[in-house]
Order: sequence, then C-alpha cells, then structure tokens
Amino acid sequence: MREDAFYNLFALRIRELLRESRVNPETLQEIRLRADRPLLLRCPDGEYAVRGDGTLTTDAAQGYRATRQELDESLEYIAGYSLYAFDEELKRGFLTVPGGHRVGVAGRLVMEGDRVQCIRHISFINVRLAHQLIGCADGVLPYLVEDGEICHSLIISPPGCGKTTLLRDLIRQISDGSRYAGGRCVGVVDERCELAGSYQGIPQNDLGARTDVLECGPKSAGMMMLLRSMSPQVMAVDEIGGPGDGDALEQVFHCGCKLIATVHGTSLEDIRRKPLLGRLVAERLFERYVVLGRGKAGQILGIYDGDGGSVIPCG
Amino acid sequence: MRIAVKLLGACCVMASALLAGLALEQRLRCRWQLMREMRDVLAFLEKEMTHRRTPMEEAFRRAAADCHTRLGQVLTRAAKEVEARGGRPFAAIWREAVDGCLADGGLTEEELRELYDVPAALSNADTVMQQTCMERCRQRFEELAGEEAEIFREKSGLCRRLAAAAGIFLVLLLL
Repeated sequence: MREDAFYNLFALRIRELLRESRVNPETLQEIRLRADRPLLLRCPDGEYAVRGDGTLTTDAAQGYRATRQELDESLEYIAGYSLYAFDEELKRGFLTVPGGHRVGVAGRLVMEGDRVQCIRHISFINVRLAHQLIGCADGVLPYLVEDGEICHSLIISPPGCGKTTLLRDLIRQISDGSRYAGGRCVGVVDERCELAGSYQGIPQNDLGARTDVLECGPKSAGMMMLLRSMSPQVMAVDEIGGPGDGDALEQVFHCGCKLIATVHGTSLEDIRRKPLLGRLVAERLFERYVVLGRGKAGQILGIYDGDGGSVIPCG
Repeated sequence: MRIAVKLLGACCVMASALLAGLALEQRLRCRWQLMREMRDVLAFLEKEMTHRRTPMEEAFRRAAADCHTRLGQVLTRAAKEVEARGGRPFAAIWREAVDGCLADGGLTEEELRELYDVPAALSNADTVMQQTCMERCRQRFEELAGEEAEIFREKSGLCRRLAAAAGIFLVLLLL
C-alpha cells in the first residue's frame, strides 16, 4: 500500500493528523469520520481518537472533530472527483477505492417508492482498509482437495472472524494452482465488492490468474450468468443463504462446477437450522465444512466432511 | 540597385504589417473557436458524465482527443492531475490547467471567470444538479461564442484593412 496515495484520500487537515499520528496503515483497520464528531481509528489493539496535535488517545471526547467541509473534501478525493460515477455504489452505501479499501457512507436517504434514489448530506464515512492475508488458507486448502479435485465447501463463521479473507486466499490458491490441485478457472460472484475490491472493474486484491469476477449484482443472477458465460470449474460466493440463492446453488451443484461459499453461523448445527442451507446440508451436497471461531480472527475450530465427521481436529 | 533594395524593403514592411493583421485576426478566431469548443466539450462531457457515468479523467481524455484548440491541452493536463490523486481540490487543478495552457490566449476576464467556474458544474456530486449546472454552463459558453463570433466578424476585416493601411503608410514614410 502506498502510504501517500492512501492519505491523499482525506482532506488536508485530516491527512496531516493521520500522518502526525504515525499510525501504521499496514495494521490500521478502520478510519471513521463523522461530521462534528471525533476522528476515530480502529487498530488491532483497540480504538483511538486522534487529538488536534496528531497524538492518539483512548478518550474519544478529546479527539479532533472533523468538519462538514472536511468530509465533503474527503469524499471528493475518495471518489477521484467523480462522485457522480459512484451513484449506484453510493445507493448501496459503499464504494471501493484504489488499493481495494472500502469506504462506507451514511447520511440522508432520498427514496423513490421503496427504492433508494440517492444519498444526500453524507455525514458519516468509514474507511475500512483492505489487508489481503496471502497464505492464510495454507492450512485449510489440503483438506478441501480430494484426489486432486476441489470439494464443494462451506466456510461457516460469525461476522468479522475472517471468512471473507479466508475465501479470498482460497480463491487465489485454487486459481493459481497449488501442490494439492492444479490451477482452476474460478468464477467469483462478488455482490458486495469485498472479495476482489475492484476499482473501475480491476480487482485490487490478488484473486489469481484464472479468476473471473462478476460484481455488484445479486448472487443468484451472478452465479447463473457466470455459469453460462465463463464456464468456471469452481464458483466462489460470499455469504450465501438469501431467499433467491437456492435455485442458483442447485444449478452449480449439478453442473459439474465446484462451489466454495461462506455463510454466517457459529457451527454446523447452527447451519442445519437455516431453511435453505439446512436442506443442502441434509442432502449432503457440501463435501467439506470449515468452521471458524469467535476468538482470534481466522481461528479454525474444525473442518468436517459431508457427514459432519471431523476431517482434522483443530484448536 | 537602390530601387530594387527599396522595393524589397517595402515588400518586407508590407508583408510584416499584413502578417501582424492576420495574427490579430487569428487571435480573435482562436478566442471564438475556444468558446465554441468549450460549449461542445461541455455537451460531450454532459453525456459522458451524467449518462454514462464515465470517471472524470477518462471523460476528459476522450473529450481532449477531439479538440482542435488549446482546450485539449487543458483537459489533458487536468486529466493527468485527477488521475494522480494528489489530494488537491478539483477547482485548483482546473484553474492551474487553464492558467498554464491558456495564459496567453487573450481571453477576456469574463471568459476566464466562466472557465474557472466550470469545476462547480463538473464535480457536482448530485447527478441531477450536475446536469443542470453543465447545461447552464454550456449555454453561457454558447452566448460567449456568439459574442466572440460577432466580434470576429466585426474586427477581422478591420484588422486586415488596418494592417494593410499601416503597411502602406510605413512604406510611404520610409520611401
């Protein structure tokens, strides 16, 4: 990550404060700007407010209060002076900037019937820094391959425990090939632009040499489109289980394409209770389940086969 | 021999005077063309930006490719700066590009002011307002182009005739 390019996303004053704070962008997780509220940074060891002199404090009340103008100026830089071009992204509440960082925005929604027409008076900005963990799937991939073939796999994890990061690295390794399986064409349906972190259509995260990404569309339609147009050998989707996903998932299972997906959950039992996924689990369509824990991000609690038997005990 | 030198000198003086007149006329033509081109560029950018949602740098580059005046340089320079993401306000980037490329263009204060006001329309975050502002901006440049066309029609012939008269006067004076 180029530090200068990253800091240039912010208004001049905020930029100076971030530089003076000497926070390492490589470990920084979030920067939160709110109009007339303290400038907050989320680091691995907790949340800090930045004082007016650039020093850090845990007392948010002492933090420098970003002004409305600074938020507007930051938005101008974040959108590369082309906020109008991110109209659709803004309706979803976020946009992706070079480097794959995700900028969430909130403000006043203007509705047209039950559809969001646009968002005005953006007063809250949350910059989530993308940190691709190359190699974080090294310990998982061997168990997702059987006789050189990728297994239909489901990664189960509570929110914020690293399932997207794990899936991203799995996609990269499957696409590039590893000592367990040769490189495969991977189709990625990236509904929330989190996996590829594309900026102007170009993935900012390394998803491998044989990966095609369809982003910003609904998963169900995206999976069908990729199946028809790109003939992937492996399909990867994040956070399945929505009402429209059933038909598309069955198509993937029955067309010779392998599926690697993630879902919010705490255990295999938890997944069995979900309507759509419970049925898929009962039909043993998934061949592997990877369960991540709530503790340390990326902690693997267990890897199970289609019958729920442990493939490897993890701790 | 002396007469030949005098004739040669007279020709040179006449040619210089006529060229000065033509240069003045060309300057007027350039101003007119620049305003006309700005109007066309704004119409193009309006389509690119509000309908196709093309990012600014890309829209600028496309518009610059069809430019025949120095406006192309302004757009290319602004596109480079926008792409560089140097963390400077767009208004400053645009003003610098205008000053850098059109400084000696002989533009009037009013024309320069209108050019400096363009960023407010281009970088408007609200697409409806952006379209409205660009339309208004385009109309303003249409008016300015009309005024420049009128000035050109009035003064171009005058420039040529005055230059020729000045040349003849100088030749007579020198002879």
